[in-house]
Amino acid sequence: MRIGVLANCQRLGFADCVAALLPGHEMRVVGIGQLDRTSDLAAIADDLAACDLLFTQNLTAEWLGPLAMARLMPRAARAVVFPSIAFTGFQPDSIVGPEQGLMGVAHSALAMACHAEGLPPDRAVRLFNAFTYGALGYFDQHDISFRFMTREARALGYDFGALIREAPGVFMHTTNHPRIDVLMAVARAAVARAGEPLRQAPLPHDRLEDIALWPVYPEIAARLGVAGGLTFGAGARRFELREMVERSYDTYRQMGDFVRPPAIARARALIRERVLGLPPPGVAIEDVRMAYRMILGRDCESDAVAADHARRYASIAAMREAFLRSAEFRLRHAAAISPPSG
Amino acid sequence: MPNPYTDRPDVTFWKRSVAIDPAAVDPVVAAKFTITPRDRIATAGSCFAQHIARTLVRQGFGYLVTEAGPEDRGYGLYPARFGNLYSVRQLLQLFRRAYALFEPLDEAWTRPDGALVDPFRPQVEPAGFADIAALRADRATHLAAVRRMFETCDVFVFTLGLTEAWVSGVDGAVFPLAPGVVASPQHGDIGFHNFGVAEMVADFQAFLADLRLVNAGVRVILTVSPVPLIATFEDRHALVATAYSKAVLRVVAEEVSRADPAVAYFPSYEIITGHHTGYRFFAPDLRSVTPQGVDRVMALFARHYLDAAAPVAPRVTAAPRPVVNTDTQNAELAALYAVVCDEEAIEG
Repeated sequence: MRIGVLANCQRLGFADCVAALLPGHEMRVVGIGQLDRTSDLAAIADDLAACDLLFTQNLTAEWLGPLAMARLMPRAARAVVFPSIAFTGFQPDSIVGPEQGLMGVAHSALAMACHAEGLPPDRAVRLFNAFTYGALGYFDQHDISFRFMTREARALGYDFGALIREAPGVFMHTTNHPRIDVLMAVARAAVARAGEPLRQAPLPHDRLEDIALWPVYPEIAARLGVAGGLTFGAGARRFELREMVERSYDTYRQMGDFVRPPAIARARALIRERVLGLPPPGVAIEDVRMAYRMILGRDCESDAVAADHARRYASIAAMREAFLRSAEFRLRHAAAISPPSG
Repeated sequence: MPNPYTDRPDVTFWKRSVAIDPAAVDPVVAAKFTITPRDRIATAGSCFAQHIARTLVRQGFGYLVTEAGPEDRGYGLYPARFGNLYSVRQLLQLFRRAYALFEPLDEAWTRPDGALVDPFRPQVEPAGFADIAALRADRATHLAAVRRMFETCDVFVFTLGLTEAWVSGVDGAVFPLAPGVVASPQHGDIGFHNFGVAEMVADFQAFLADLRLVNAGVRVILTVSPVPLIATFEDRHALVATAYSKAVLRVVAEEVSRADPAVAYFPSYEIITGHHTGYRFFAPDLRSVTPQGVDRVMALFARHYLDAAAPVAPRVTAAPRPVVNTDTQNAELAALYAVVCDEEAIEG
């Protein structure tokens, strides 16, 4: 039998589990993350549709064309849909952005917001605490995420609660990388739905674990009754929170402006209101620092002075005007701005 | 002819509840909740709060200690080594400093002997700190312990102590002692402020809102210290200043506790200063509360709030302390003496 699998990154573990449950068959595994503009989607769809048994996630993106679930499944002799597992309950600070950083496309919303608001890395590290998590709703994410996944899975005929009962503890390596025992539970349910006999099979190597590990922050872990930590993993490398923040800052400095998910806006609003005492929109501390460099030609003397300026001006324009009218600016550029004599 | 008071209970009548045998006066009518040996209890506030801590330990309740060490270095008086918190603003700022929401510019004050002190707990380290690095390292450990206290306590008991405070003009930081009493800041921009009801109610409610973000189920007991001001900075009589201060603190406790079902008011202030006592719970200095007064407060606290029916070993045990034998006057005085008031330093 030829078995096709079409899925996101979870194909890595899922296909291994299917192969363990249904050994001796030819596997054709396609990851949508591997596809690009040059991919021949029609040919891939033909290949998958020709499989004797097809497992596909509920893929609906328009760009997938013939690989979208609604178009591909009717063509297959036997097709079973299975849920993608996304769960933010353990790592609610981890957001997925379009940019590649230290942890691939996963970023800390808090670190990113602290950078955007001009907080030094030390201060950012200290803000990884229970108050921040509580104020950002991180402690509520487990229940919210569980309800979301329960609905999503149920829509496809799966019982999310039953799936994770087989994988106690922290069942996610990152928000979108489940542990291999979760994927085995999903695979067993999918194979059963395909009408294939279930056999006992050892857990395959957890390949998603090799890619990235986002820790469950201790204060969140304590509330969930699971093991927590602050050690991040990217490939074989391990690093602590401070290094994650400092290296993320390096990345963000080089990125310039970029698309920021809503979680960043929430974290920025919290930092502005509760840490900097600033109104939500307006002038960021980083804007003040830049004004010092651009207009006065020097660095701002301290964070406190920068925060004071940020608090004082309602807009960038108001701040620029004040800087251009300042005594320091006039002194520094006296020659350039003096009216010509004679 | 019946009137609206006719069927009111005895406790609502002065004659039947106050002008009686002093030993029978019990102003606690109904506890909002009770504390079991399983509950982890944290205390903070003015020096009177230290008595509550000692009683809880003695009676085997789960007194929470998140920063343990020798008592002569300020450990064990409270769950963490924060010293006395006289004003509500200090409590609010302790929370905010612990969670990096507020990082005051005043990191260290200098003593006459050159040692550095943490201006927010100037007397916890008898030798002071040799340099800023040592102070910062200890502060980081301390604030982590403060966070653990806020996050893990089941009951938080706070004793309101003072309205008068010393406030930084730079960033609003509030200090437990005036500049120059123990140590001096790098700048002279520190002013006097006498907090009013509205500010303190707002501060306490802000504290509660923040506390519940890290500890949703916490219950709070407010008390008012019966200890008079050691001195006022205002140009008026110490008695008038004390009466004002206690009245304000009492109103704050009332407004906060009435508005919040998880906040109780325990009347230690009334137990000590009530007319029925004839001031016999004060020592000859008319300021220090006698051991008998403390015992009376704690006996009523235990009667109404401590439910020892289910004797379960406390989950977090207290740091080792000297054994206090309440049977002997010496031991009582030793216990009383062990209560550390930063304020005493004012008189030099």
